[in-house]
Amino acid sequence: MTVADAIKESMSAVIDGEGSDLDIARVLKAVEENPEARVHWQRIQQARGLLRTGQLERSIDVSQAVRESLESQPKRRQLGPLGSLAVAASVTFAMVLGGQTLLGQSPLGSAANSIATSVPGGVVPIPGAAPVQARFGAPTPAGSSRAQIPQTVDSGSSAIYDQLARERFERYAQVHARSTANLQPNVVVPFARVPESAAAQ
Amino acid sequence: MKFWVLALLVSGAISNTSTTAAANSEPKVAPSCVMSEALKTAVEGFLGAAASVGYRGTMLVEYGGDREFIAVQVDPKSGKNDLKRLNKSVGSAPMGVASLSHSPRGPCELARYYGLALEPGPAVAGRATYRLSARPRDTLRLAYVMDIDAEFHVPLRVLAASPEGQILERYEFANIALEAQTETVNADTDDAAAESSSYYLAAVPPGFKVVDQGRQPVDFLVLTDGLASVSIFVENQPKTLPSGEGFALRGASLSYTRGMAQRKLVTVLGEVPITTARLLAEAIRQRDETR
Repeated sequence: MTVADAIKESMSAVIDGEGSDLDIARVLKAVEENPEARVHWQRIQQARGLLRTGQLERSIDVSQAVRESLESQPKRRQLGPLGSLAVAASVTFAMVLGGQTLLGQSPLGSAANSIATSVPGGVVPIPGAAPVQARFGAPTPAGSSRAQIPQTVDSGSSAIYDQLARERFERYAQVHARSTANLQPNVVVPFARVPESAAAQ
Repeated sequence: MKFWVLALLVSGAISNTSTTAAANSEPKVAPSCVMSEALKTAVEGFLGAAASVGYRGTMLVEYGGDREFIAVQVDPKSGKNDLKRLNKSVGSAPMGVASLSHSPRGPCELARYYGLALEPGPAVAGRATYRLSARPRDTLRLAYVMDIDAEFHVPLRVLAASPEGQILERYEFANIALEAQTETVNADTDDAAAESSSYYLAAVPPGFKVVDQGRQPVDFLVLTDGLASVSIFVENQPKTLPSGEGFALRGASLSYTRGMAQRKLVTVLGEVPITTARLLAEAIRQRDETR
């Protein structure tokens, strides 16, 4: 299966931030169905990164290109449910592709520890909890990377949000366990995941 | 016109459920599936055991670098379950844990989103098992390998892994005594959920369904696909906090927090990959309650 010229043109348009709704839809469909299209999509992103930075970017935020494309277009109308659906699908798709593209960059294992101690506030670290890589599939604490976090977010706010995610885990894990324990393979294990300090609350 | 084209193209990736009840409006027709009788019986047994088998035992739970032994007692008849962390303190009383009951999905519904496989299992806690593997058909859920008691169908050893096969969590009984219970009375049921959340999902990942919602302690929604489950909590975002996102992981449970442009702080907490958490945060919408 080859990549049709029309698809390539749509990919170029999307990655240049000039893609229409139809271009985005076409790219979504092609990449989902055609492995060669997926490879081509990754290549043109790498090429674009090379031109822009002079370096081969290993961590490419695909979602950024899609978002740029969506945001750079004039506000034609208020997005309805279907429009929202398409945007959500685009971002999801971009994350999937981005995750497939990404390899671990800077290890976050040590960074996670420094984050935990550098952010002020009464934060109780969760044993075994660590910031995880925003990547395709399940998060991986070790060797994780921030590459996929939107570039509008600086590292400072990322650290704050990692901390917030830990705090919210403490705050809501018990509620989540109560709501979902009967849906999980073992009814007690969801409560075992709740940090002891939170369970006592 | 373009939006219709888009909707058709992405319908395979996301199901549109912009109505209030969101995924509750899924078709009632049972999906057709091809499944051996042995597999069907095994899955039905596993799904039904949670409501019909009581047990008492000791299990080892491992998540990430953490591991602990816990003593458990599960009594679906009364709905009262106990958990005691054996490595944390001496002589402490068991902690009572009660959970909402939900109607389990059927084997065919699970088979739409998981590749199910059955094979002989190893002995666990001195009991014979069969191994039921549930491998996700997409990247929106985790994989499970479960060694299930051959007589009572209770999972005795469960391993949860990412779609790429990375092990996230494992637990296993060291000893267990099981008892079939014919009459089960649970105090809480999913029908008891009364108050609707102020939020809904504009789109729900395929296979997931909203099974609970409310406004305490904050607005929340609960979804499941029959194996994976996830809760979404929405609160006001402090004005000084910039938009962003962050993550924490404990075993199979992910906590994903995101500050939205609408000054809302969304936390997705559950046993799902981050792809799913991000998608759900993206799809959260506030109801127009002025009407």
